[in-house]
Amino acid sequence: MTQYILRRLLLVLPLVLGITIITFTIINLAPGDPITAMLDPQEMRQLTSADIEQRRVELGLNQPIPVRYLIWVREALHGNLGYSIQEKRPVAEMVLEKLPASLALSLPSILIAITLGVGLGVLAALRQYSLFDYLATAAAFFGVSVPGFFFAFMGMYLLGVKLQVLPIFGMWTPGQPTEINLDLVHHAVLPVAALAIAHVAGYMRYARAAMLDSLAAEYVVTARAKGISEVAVQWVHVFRNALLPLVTIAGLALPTLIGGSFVIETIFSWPGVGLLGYTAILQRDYPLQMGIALMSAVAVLLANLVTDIAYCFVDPRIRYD
Amino acid sequence: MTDSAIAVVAEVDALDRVPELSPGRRTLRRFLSHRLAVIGALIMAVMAVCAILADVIAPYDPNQIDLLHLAESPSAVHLLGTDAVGRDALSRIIYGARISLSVGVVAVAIYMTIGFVLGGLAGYVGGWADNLIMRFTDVMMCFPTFVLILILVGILGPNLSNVVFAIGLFGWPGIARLVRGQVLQLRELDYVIAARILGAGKVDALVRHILPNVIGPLTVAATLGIAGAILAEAGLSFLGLGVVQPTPSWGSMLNDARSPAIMAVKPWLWISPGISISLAVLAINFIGDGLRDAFDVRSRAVG
Repeated sequence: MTQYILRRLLLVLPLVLGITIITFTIINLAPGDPITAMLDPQEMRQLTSADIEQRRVELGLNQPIPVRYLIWVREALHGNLGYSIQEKRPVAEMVLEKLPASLALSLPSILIAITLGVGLGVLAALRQYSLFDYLATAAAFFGVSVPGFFFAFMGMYLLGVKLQVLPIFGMWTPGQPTEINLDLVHHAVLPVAALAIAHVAGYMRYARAAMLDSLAAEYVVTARAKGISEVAVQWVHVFRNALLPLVTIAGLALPTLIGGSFVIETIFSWPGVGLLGYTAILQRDYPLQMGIALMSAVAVLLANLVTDIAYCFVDPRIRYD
Repeated sequence: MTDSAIAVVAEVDALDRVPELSPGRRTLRRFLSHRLAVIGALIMAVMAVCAILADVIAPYDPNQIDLLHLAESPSAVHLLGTDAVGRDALSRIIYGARISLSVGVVAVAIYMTIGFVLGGLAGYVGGWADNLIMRFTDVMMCFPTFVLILILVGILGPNLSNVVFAIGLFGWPGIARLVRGQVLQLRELDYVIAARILGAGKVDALVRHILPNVIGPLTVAATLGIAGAILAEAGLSFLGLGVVQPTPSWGSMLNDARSPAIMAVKPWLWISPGISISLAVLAINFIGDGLRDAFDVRSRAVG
């Protein structure tokens, strides 16, 4: 197992290399001068064009592309992802500032999606072909087919406009304290639900299929033949084997979650990384866009690493192939 | 005997007769016995007819402005109402089918080709090519696809062909993995080894014996991919970064309705395009599910 973890860790290096190469390539494809994006704008205002030319040489931007790539990586490793064109502030700082708001949406979404999705999927599988199974399967089809933004519109219209029970805008009521409180929870209900719905459906379908596979497996037949009680068969033999792979599936959901947050945060004017990224795209703020893309990719990479290693602990059969 | 019992017997009869049918006929028969898939196929057929014959079917020109009927609720004159500048919503929905379906099909065709070639090479050539291609695939899978598509469309400028290009360029990693996995599995099967022993070349074995068997899972993936591409286009257009005015698109109709004044007061302007998107994606997912059963492909992907 130690060997598996070591090899899995080693695999991270080429992936980080690839992620940086792709981000760097897109940065260089984007219009605009990279030097102005790399320099602190406050500082730049006092510089003459000769000074800028000097900085270009200092930063090595007159060097061939591979050398420039290495310089960019060195800067990125020191946390310098460049400066936002619009806000004139360091990209990394801006993203980290918005991250808590995004986590306030995505963490509850994923937790609800897993508990609700897996719960429904398991129940549906245990009562295969029952009315409940059909309804859950039908609901899952709708869940993956109705776009999150349409679901958000319906929620805003019915619960926000018609019944007026939920707020549809921002994180807090204007004028109220901006801290973790009931007001925040109240504002989060609709966006969390809109973000979670497709994932609930996904986990439900996965859990149902995995449970059915596991219920039909020979070790379950053996367990029953041995006379073990049905409860014990389900808990010890079926659930464990069916639901363990969920650990890795949960890691794979992150990219969809990040993509979804761009849409949902925009609809609900939720001041998170998604809204920041959307604004950056509209304003053609390329350093900010690429900073967000790079940080998302690294987050996905780390999430997959953590889930793979966690899986290796919960399932001792796993070996590196 | 109850109806369901008769149905079961009929199904068992059908299964008994299966071996007499060719693989293609058997797949078709299984697909047709999947009720949801048939419903999905019918919905898609209606939408495809709308898309192709939009000029004939639509009651109005989608961009024709009716100044006497601005932002009106559904009526006999305008069945689904009119938008803020007086365009007929039903006509825009019908023309919108053209955009959604063509974006879905063309974008998926592009990334299926990329994924097919890369995955096939990785699986069949193996060695360093496999390593290089699969690590590249792993890297691409770290990036949230929708975000990359947004950024690329932002750089190139929002329009129909850039949307298709961006979705096509970033959608392939899943397909490449699927094809590689299939090829690796099939390559070791007895009939392929037999063909090789009988003198079939590497390329011949790949093209004539391996690839035809990859078609099933690929068709399923492509079908579900079209649903995903339609959702992606709708999402882009909804954010104002997809198909731009005046081209009618379901996503941009929802974008038009984003202002609180329209969202809260004139719900018919976003309900009908929202239902159109959901119905199209639902129908395609039904078809995909039916195809999966028909080809007997197992998938555990979380959507």
